[in-house]
Amino acid sequence: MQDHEQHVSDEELLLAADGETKVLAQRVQAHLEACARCRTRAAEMESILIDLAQTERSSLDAELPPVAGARAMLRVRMAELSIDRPGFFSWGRISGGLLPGVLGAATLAAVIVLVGVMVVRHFTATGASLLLSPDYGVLPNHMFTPGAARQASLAEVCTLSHEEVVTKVSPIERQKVFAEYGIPSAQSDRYEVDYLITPGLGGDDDIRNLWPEPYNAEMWNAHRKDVLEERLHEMVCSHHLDLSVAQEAIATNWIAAYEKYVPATPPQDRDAKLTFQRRS
Amino acid sequence: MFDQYRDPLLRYSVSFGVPVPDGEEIVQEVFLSLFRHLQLGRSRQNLRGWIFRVAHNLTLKQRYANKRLPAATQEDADIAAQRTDPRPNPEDACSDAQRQQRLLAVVRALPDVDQSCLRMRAEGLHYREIAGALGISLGSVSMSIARSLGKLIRADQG
Repeated sequence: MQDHEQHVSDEELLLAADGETKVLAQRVQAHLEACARCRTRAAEMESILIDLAQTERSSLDAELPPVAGARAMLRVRMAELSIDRPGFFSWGRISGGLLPGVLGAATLAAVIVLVGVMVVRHFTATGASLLLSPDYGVLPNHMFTPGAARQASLAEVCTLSHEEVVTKVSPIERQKVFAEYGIPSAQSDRYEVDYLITPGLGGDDDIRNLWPEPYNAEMWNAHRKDVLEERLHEMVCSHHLDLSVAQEAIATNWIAAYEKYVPATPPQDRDAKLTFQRRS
Repeated sequence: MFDQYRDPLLRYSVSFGVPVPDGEEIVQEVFLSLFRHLQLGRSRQNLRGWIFRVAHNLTLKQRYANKRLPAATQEDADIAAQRTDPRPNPEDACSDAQRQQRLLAVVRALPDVDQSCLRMRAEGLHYREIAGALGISLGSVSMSIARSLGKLIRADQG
């Protein structure tokens, strides 16, 4: 009995092997180093589990159809889902489901006016009167693109290269972003789908962090935003700015952040020093 | 992600006796659910556990639906038996095949939750992910797997 109590249980062996709690793992490791019986038990459990996994695979894998067809089917269904997804302005939903006939039309008109007012207020709130300027669209609509950040440590942000954290925006994602912003597919080549919070600052690969940035903006274009991103990255990694502050600044109004954090130097000088590459 | 988890999820469904075409449909549903889940901006924590949880629920539902179709049940059971229990001819039998058969027989005799724990573990999920997927405690997962492995080891040695 005394001897039995000194051994670790099967559950403890399994949990420790799975990295559950550092304290348990250390205790079990110390015990295993001294106990041949428990080492044998741990090896038996591991071995039978590996054998079982191989057995399952050898009996089932031959039956599984190739993944390519299933992948293609999923893409089609996801695209259909995006198109069918009832949005804010779904006429079918308003007229068929909630408010039929004249009342539905009146509601739709009211919604359009309301959204128009909200859009104007949004852009005029930036202080730049962007609605009528050549730079219209250079700020994202925060209703659709509030910005999203992943759980990223300062060390990760400052050590990983841009290529290690960024993934290419898929055509389906691009389509979703354009649909959200009501951009016709014929005009989609005028925009780059860009991250609001860049992955290099912990931005997430999430539709809430993507918006269609116009290529043809004269003043506040993608190159300017690159300059800001590099500047913020530099400040964060030299401990002159908190990562969360940088994320919030770029998500709230990247133009205001540019004016606040980027020293007044000619843009072409800074453009030449870009190290972070954009994706489209 | 689809390429990474399609086979493990399909194996998981099929190992519960669900026919491959139904299993394929389940995997499609899992990823469409994931698509909607992410579109709605919901949590990205433990996504592997999340997709296995959806697959687990759909698999049990599909298995239940198949059992309610008497004509299909026997046929499906036969197909499943042929697939998961490919008994070798006496002439072809070798010790490895017999051992595999013995192990699979032990697994199939386990309660559903023990089979789920074991199969998710065999697919590489951590205990915490399994606990999240099945809605049980971490301790229950480790006890279940320890109990199942004990049975497998005894069957293997006996």
